[in-house]
Amino acid sequence: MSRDTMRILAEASPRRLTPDVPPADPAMIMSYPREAARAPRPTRRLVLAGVGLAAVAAVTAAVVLRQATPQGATTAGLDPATAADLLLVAATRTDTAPAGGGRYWVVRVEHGEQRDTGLVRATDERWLATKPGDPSTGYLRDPSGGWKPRAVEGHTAENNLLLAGRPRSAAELAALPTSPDELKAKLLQWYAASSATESRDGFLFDSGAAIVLGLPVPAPVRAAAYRMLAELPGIASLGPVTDALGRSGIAVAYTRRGDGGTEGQQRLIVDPASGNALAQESWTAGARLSYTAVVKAEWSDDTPPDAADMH
Amino acid sequence: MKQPDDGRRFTAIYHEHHRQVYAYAVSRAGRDLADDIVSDTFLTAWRRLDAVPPTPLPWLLGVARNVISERYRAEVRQASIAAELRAWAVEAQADVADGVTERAAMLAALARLGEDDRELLTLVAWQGLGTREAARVVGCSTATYFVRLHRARKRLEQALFQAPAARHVSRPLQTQEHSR
Repeated sequence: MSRDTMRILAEASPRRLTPDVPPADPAMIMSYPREAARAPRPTRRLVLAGVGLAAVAAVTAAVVLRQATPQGATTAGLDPATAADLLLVAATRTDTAPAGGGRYWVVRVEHGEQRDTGLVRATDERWLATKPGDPSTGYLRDPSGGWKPRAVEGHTAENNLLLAGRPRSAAELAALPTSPDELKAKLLQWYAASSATESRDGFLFDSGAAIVLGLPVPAPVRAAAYRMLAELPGIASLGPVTDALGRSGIAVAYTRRGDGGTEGQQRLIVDPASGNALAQESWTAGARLSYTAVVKAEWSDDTPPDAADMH
Repeated sequence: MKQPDDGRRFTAIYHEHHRQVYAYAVSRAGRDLADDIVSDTFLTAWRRLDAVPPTPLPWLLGVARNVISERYRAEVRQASIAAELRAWAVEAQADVADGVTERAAMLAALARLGEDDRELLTLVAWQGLGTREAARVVGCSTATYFVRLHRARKRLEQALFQAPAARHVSRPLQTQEHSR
């Protein structure tokens, strides 16, 4: 009986143990330094547990597209400004942005990840509650273009927002400093307290990018994040680029070099006209391996919609 | 030149064991968290390549185990694994429609066990590890693993046996079978 039990158990192995998409390129991992005193995490920092690409891959596995040569910096005949210039322009545009606030922070993003068979893309929209008692919820766009609800279990107003490696509440983000130096000091305080991570500047770049990209912070905090990024050493301007959604912007990049000689680059793409951050992309060896492109990020006082009513 | 060799060795380990580490991560923490657990595990393997033994799988699963317990708060992981077990049930229900009930009953019984028992059993049954390798993953002696596996198997058999009875409380299972 016992031997039989183990055999039946072995044969009962669920199909969900096998990934729907081929593994990510290991070059991504090898682009991290070997001997870091702290372990960096090559994960999607804006993606909360429970609504990650893995979670949506099952739904969108059918949408596996072959990608032609990854798009790089285009030459639009512009004289690229320095990274600091661009970021300061974005900060100035952000200074005049209206103050926001509301029951829900609504973020729609497209995630993409390069796998052996091609580019896997997925779009989700999250309604993240900012007040205790309101439920957070999420939606996935399926390949036909319709939306399906996707529970975001374990998410509350106290832990909805991921910044600097840990979940934060909306109140905590709203209280971030509005001066670049104080913001940097606050982030470094979190850096010191965190167990995981990378170089100090890499951490500041990722945290700053997260703030401008998809987090519900007041406009002055977002402007401070741009100014903090402008002062970070080692950030290069890549000039005009097109993001994965075909939108024009200017990219700034932070590059790290793994011990195998493989370079890993984090790019932040900003629309200089509006001061809005459009996307963050991860590049290794000249190819875009993954990206998060923000389709919209806005406040809402509405009740989360029925999936059937979304478009 | 050690570095190109390292890159080749890491790439080989990654491609050979990615699926197994993924499967372990799904069975312990659910699909929602699995990709991130796998990334963290292989990043550790890359950083500590010299420490990776010639048979890497038990070592990799041990790292994945630590990643899961250190990185996720208990309630996040519980929610994710609960959702995972529900998804298995849905998958198995499709089998029942096809007339394959043994598999559905087995997955249902497995879902009723505690996390520790589930891990002991699936490391052997799904990951294909011997008790010696499985013991290395959970960090106990082979003898202890053997004893714990034996008990876990008994509990699994009880859970299997009790499942139909739970739906027919008034009738013991044997009577039910004789009456057919």
